[in-house]
Amino acid sequence: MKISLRQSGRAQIAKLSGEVGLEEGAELQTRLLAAIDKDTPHLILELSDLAFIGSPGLSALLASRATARELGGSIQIVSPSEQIGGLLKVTQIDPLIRVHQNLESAIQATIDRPK
Amino acid sequence: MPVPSDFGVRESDLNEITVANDLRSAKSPEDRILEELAGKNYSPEARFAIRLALEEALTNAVKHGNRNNASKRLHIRYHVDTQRTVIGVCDEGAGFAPAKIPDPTIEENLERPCGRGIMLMCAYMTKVRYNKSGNEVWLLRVNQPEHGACDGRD
Repeated sequence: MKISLRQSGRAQIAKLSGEVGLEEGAELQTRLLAAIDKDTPHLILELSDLAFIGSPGLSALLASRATARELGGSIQIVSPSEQIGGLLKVTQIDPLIRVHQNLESAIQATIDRPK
Repeated sequence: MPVPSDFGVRESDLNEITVANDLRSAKSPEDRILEELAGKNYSPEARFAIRLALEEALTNAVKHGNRNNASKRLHIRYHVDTQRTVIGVCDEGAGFAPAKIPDPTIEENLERPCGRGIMLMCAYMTKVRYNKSGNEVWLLRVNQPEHGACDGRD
């Protein structure tokens, strides 16, 4: 698993690549929670290069969402693979975390949200 | 618990691996099974599904079954052929009652970070079967589009 972070306005954009398997879920949660603060309460997860995520990874996403919401922010997902998009539907996480087809749409969603 | 009779394999067909009770050690049988799936031309969707269910079974065994106890072990038995994949994961813990796990898809539980393991195994595998005490789970994935039934406990 590789995570690269960059800031866009009040959002951190995290590009995930590789796989979030048995051992990586805890590290993902630590890295994502560290990226969220009062100045950047929104987190955009760019998943086009992510091949696999299991439930520890999904737990990391939900924990990040809870922290973001406490700070008035949100979590947005961009370009998941067909399998990962399906997993978000099966687990019914997709109504909780909005999925976008492109990064511009996700960034706009963080701008449109009131402070 | 022997492999369920309706899973289509015999005991003598199974490979067996015993590993230490930690997620790093659990990667070893996972890697072997994933290699076999790739070698037998399972589709990317099928490999994703089997890996997802297997990781759930292994994580549950390490954390909830053996309660992260380093002195305990995991016992994995598996068989992969072009028609089906059968995997059994057994821990050395006291077991649990799968039916008592809260449904993670009802509204009040949706935001809980944990509790999706059994639901995911049932959604992605053809059959999922627990032994009576709940410390052993058997997974079957038939290598065709039809899957998604959960048998619950044996």
